[in-house]
Amino acid sequence: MSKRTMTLNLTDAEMKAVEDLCTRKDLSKTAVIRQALRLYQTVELRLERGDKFYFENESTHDKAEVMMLS
Amino acid sequence: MSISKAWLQCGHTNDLVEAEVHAEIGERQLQDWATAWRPAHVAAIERLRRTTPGNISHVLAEHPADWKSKAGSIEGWLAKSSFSLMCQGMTQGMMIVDSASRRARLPDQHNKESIYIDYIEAAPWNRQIPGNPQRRFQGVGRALMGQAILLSKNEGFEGRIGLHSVPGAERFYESCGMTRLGNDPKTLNLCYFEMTAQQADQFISE
Repeated sequence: MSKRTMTLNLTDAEMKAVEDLCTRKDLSKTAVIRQALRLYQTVELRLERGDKFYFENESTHDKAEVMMLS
Repeated sequence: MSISKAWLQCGHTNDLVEAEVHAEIGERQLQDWATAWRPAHVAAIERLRRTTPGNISHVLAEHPADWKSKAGSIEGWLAKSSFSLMCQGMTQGMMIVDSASRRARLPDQHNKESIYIDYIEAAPWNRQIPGNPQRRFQGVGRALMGQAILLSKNEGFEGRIGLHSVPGAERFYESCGMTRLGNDPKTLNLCYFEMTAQQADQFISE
């Protein structure tokens, strides 16, 4: 699979968030951004299909729908 | 589309035969599925019905998996990757994996990124089905599992993979060294299996 390079302009806070995720997930910056893109696209695709996006608390089973603004 | 080498064992001669793992399920594979896999699956089901009393769904699914629909549903979806195993001009196995939606569950790797195997299947003539003639190739499942581990390592997930198994395949995943985490009521009560980084290294070294 061929890969392409791009420059990403981030604020300090955004870069810190990327670096924190790299540390927490033990992943490179590229891997973190790729995972973020995959998740973002997955959410969009599922919403387009009519699915709902929500978080569920494993212990209480409470479900909180994530409201996506369009 | 990238291609890598794999080895299968011929069911007749026990010789190792070179195969190719293609990083896609394309038109050619879907044609093999429609013209060869599906008729072979239907024939195997009919043979089983004649020879095995009672429910046969634990041995072989009553209806062949619809790979055309599965492959079509993931087109352009970045989180999904498909693979096919080609040998002697025929598709011998297919697999679809997810690299973003599922996290690891074992305590030592809880919530870490992991490759989840959505679907994996060997061609009907490569499967151990009672009353089936000798398998054409052995090692199809292991070759595809190896590819999932390789993808996991390439993504920085250290070889972690997970999947839900149909009852007839549970022993195979145990033989791959995966850890059984029990039946999952959220996924048709199928048994969930997971592989750690250490188990992945062990699998590759074998």
